[in-house]
Amino acid sequence: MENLKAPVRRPPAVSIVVLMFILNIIFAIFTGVLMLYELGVLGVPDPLGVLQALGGTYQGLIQLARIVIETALIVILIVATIGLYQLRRWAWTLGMLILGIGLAFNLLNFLRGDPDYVLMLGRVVAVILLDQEPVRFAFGTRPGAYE
Amino acid sequence: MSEQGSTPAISDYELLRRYEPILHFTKGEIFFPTDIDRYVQHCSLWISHADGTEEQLLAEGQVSLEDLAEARDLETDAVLYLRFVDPPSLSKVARRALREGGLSGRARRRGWTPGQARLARVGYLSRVVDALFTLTLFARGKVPGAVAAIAEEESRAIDAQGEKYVYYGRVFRDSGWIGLQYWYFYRYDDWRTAFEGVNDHEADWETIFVFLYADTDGTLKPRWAVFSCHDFTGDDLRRRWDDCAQLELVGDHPVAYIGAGSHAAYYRPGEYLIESEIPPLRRVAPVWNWLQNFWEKTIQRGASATTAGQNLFAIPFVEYARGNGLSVGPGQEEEWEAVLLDPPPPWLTDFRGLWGLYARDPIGGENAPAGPMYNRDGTPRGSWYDPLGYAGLDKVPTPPDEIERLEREQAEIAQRQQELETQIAARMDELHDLGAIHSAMEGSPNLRRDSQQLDERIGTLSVAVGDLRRERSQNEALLSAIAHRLEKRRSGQYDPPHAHIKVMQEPAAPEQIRFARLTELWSAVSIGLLLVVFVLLAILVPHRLLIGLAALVAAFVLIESIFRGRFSDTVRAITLILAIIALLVLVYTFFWQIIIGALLVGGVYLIWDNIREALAGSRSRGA
Repeated sequence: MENLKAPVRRPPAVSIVVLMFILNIIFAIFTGVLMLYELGVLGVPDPLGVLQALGGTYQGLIQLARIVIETALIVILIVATIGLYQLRRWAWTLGMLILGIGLAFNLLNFLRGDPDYVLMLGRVVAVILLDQEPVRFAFGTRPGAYE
Repeated sequence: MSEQGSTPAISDYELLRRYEPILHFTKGEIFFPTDIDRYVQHCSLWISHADGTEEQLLAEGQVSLEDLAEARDLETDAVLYLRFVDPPSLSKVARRALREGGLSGRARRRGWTPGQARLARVGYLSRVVDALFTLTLFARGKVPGAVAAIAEEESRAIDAQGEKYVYYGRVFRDSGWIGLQYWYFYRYDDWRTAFEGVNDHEADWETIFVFLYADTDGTLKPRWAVFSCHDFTGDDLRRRWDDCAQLELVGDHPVAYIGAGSHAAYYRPGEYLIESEIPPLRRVAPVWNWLQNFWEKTIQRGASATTAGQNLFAIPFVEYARGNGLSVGPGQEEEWEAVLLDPPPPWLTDFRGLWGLYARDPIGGENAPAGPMYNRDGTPRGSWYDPLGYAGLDKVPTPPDEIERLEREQAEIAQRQQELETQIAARMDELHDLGAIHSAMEGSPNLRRDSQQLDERIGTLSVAVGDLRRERSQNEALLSAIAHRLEKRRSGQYDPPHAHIKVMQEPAAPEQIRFARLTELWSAVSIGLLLVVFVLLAILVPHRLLIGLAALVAAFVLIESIFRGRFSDTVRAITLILAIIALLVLVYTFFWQIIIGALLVGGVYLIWDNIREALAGSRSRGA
């Protein structure tokens, strides 16, 4: 049977958001590397040994947890970015979820007197772009959308 | 009263019997329409004084219908009421609770099975409102839980002497309509305690109407059925006699499905999700609706499937009108005894008190109702003194009357059109004369003042002619509409039977009431759990209470959305709300920078646009 589904072109807004996510990934990797460097994990002959040593203290455990969370965040960001690039429906939800959590932390930091306006603005712009009707249509999150 | 016109042979009593409705009850129902005589004999008569004291006027066994009608001097704010169940003593309640394992669940023991949880069928806000409403029952006056059980027992004792299924009927004639009004008296309304409904109260009066008209040949024809349903009034209550999809008929008898415990009447069997409005929240609802409208239509952020068409500030309740229990009416398990209220007896006209316990409920739902003629506060009841208005029929002529009225209107408009033609021709003639004179005055400066006056006259006359032409044009359109309507009416065509209905009450479809057990469980515990976790937050992290509460609500909403398969929509809504807040923060923080930036951009754009225009102009001139 003939496939009647028309190919969907990637809206420019999606490309912009993907670019923003890639920048976010680069920034997160940079932060992670910096963290590992500060902990003395990088540039030593036995990094696993350093990590094991970290597990022995309370502070070290917290540092380990931070490393795990940071790594997980980077993985999730990469998955979301690839999904957004491929116009996957789940990626749109994941992207909005990531942006929502990010905005919640931005607002929390603002209330604490430690605002990051650039990041906040970037996330607001990304949300607005992702919520555009053609974008939602392309991802199939609107009724009548291509699926 | 006897039938007027060409059908004098039919008495009012016979008319009532000819169209008396058939009532199908839900399995588990115990209170059925019955006589008031034996009920009143089992009641005591009381006054609730304004200072809160209760005074018994007549003890049980001493009250008769004649006593109710007796004129009494009452102070303002005093309430006269009957009491079917004596104040239940603690020992009696305790004995019953021990014997029956609790006072609830009486309907289940009578064979009623609850439907799937009502709370799973609605959203969070409705659940919060429901929880608040439940909590108000601790503060409001309410009928004690044991009363329903004792009322059931006493009702059974009365019925043991002989069951009676009674309606009280009246026939009235108004504006061509012949109304048959059937009043049903129930000894008790156990909707809350037996069927998970809104309220309980002693005594219940419900009504059903059948509206007839005399056709051109004098025969009486039934046209509308009107079933009373809670506090609803107007067009939505009415079903046309030929509406086969909505109105079930057995011969000439309309069939009603009665809500378990509440005794509201429905046209079709099933489970109805109904909304009970809370008076103080009525003012909030329009604000919410405006916000929702702004979100969905003005900024086109899409509608929420779960809240569409639902009043979030009303308590959701499921009404069970299954029709699988006892049936009363012609050809059914039980037949009616009819009592004609003609002339209206004194108990009907003179007793403005309540027909059961006055529970001092300020909202009113737990207080017994007054009789058919009155509201709880003693004012006349709309369904009695203005039945046409109650049914939305005050603007609806009978079918033969409609044709007559349309023909009369048509003739009047046609005559007016002729008058208009004459007037327009005369004024146009005058206008032409004046126009010709005005033209002649051109070029004569000595006639300037006269010319100005004439100009004003022409203007006034021109406006008048315009008005006449507009009226003629509107009349033409009206005549065309009337002619079209008359043609349809004369050929026996009527509007679709549902044309007058704005909100059609429909039983819930199976897919609407089918939820996973986990969803039901979550719906039942979510609000309580939210409250418990909130208290824990307040104890453990009081300095982060607001943030914690926001996170808690967001988490609960997300969990709920997973159960309902609306995770994506919910994530979007929450993220958009956060983005709007963040945007407001940015605008607030960088207000002047934004203004200066916008002005700069605007200025640069204007310069660029004007230069482009100027360059384009010079290029085209050069070419």
